[in-house]
Amino acid sequence: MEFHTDSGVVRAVNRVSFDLSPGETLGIVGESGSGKSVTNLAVLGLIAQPPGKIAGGSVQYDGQELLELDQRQWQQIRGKKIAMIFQDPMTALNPFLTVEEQLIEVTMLHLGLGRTEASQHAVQLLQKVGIPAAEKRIRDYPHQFSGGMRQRVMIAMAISCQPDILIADEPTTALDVTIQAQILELMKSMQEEFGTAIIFITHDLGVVASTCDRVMVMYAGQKVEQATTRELFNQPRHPYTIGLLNSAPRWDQSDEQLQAIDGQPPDLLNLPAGCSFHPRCQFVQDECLQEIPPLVTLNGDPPRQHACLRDLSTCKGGEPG
Amino acid sequence: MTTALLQVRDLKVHFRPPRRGFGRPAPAIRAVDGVSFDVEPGQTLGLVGESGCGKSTTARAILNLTGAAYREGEVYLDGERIDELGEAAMWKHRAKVQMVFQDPFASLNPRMTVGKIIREPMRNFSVHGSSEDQRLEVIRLMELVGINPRYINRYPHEFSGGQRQRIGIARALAVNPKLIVCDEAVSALDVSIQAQVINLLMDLQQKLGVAYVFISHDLAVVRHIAHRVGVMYLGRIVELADSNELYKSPRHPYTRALLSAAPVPDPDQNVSQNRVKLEGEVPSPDIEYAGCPFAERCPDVLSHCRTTPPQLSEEEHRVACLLYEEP
Repeated sequence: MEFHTDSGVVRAVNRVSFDLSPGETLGIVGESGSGKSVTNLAVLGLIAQPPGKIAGGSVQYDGQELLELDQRQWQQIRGKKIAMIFQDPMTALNPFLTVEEQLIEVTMLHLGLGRTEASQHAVQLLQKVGIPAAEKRIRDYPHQFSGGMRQRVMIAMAISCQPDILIADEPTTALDVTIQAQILELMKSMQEEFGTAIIFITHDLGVVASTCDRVMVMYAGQKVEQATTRELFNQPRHPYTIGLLNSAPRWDQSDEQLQAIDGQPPDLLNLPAGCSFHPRCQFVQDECLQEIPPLVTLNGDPPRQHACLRDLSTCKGGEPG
Repeated sequence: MTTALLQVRDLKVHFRPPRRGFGRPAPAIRAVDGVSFDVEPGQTLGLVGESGCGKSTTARAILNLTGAAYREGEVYLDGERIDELGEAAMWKHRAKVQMVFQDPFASLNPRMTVGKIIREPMRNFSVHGSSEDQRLEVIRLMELVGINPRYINRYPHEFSGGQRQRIGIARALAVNPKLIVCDEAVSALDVSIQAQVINLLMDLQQKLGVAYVFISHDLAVVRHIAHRVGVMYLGRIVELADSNELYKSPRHPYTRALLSAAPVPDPDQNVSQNRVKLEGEVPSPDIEYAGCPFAERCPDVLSHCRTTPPQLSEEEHRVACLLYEEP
């Protein structure tokens, strides 16, 4: 996935592969500019070309190659089979249309419902996501809802056709913690009810730990590690993951000094040679400066992967064993 | 007089929304409604709470920056009362209290070089003497916050978010303040960079003895940096205690709910079932409550909570809740 800009070509996502099983939650973690959102916009065919360009690769859903679809075919998939929840519900909802108009549009198009039918369906959806007085609120405009309520509307819209895959891009980042807890719980119960697979994009390690089955960590457009949530938090293998876990403060522990990752975030226009993480890595060796680390897959169920030239399997945040 | 650097007593800030048409005037927004706390020299007071709880307005009120809003209560800085001062009289106190803002992109003038940005407060308050002395001081500050002094003539857009926040901190330190108010100062930064800036703030406190009022919605960050923490809800402090004490044994039902809603980066911890769940959302701050403002959502509500206002208790671990008051 490349973007052609005036200052040069940005490789926003570089050779990232992952798969998703029905009903599971995959977390994608990374900092700003790591490529986590672009990856998923590409999965949904939502990259504007130009300036974007999918320079290679393949996205398969249920055996079907998505990258070869035309606009008409996409419309059969997007919203119906694969739906998305965005970070900012105020900009993702149309401010000129009532919530009802926005909700029935989806089901009338994809499920072929009539207006009244779609309208009843929409009220049920709003009740399901916990909006009080749904019959009345459905005629309101997005600005009349609070942030948490708007996110509930977004979820109602996303699940209206019972999609197989739900892509949630930082769905709770803009919300307060108590509201975040409500929304995460709602997503979990929707997943249990419909068996939806969720791709959960976030930078919040706490949210990952409490919601995801598996996690993929991205840095500078590349996948640097993938493991089950428990493995990743208990035995991280990539120095970036280790750094990320050590630099996150916790409210339930009083640790004296946070171990920050040194240096600055990578400049995607000007990535260093060798491993992209080497300028900030505490375990850096000579070969890291020249060699691009391959993604190593370890046997296991599910297999875990990491891209580091050093073996950090026995290390626990300190020196490698 | 005690030794507290900053004393805030029963501070209230109410905003009156503009009248709409001919109707009755809209009720006042009670953004801060009776807040008291002390900040000791060289210590950090954290203020946490959800959006709209009044934490930022409290910060602005300390600095006399609430404009035309209705204000009540007393603010003492170094034993001197400052809340009644006009702009001119306030000026000489401004150098003692500086501020670091949330958005490192909006809070630095894009048309000034880093050198000029850090030097501006020195010029305003005529500190560090001659022009050459000021230049040397700028270089010393840049080194102190970890920005290479070679970049003195660069502009803010040439720096990353974390570096810009360091520049904002250098600017705040330029006039040797006794207190820095940090309003969500690390919230816009990525985790790895956030940790760098938190460590920097803590180092600077060790070296310079500066006190912070650290405002954040992030409970983990506040625990890490603050000595004492106040939890705010609807313009009031509902609990105020030493950081470790507050996080280990929270007493107010709102604090407990807030903590149990905050996820922990540890998959083995989150399975715990003893979650205090909060229904609904924070109500609008334009209501005047006869009793406890949290009563409507409180899982432990008592019959007289809606009629009797709770008082912040006078112990080390202060809590405003009728559960802990003698009947």
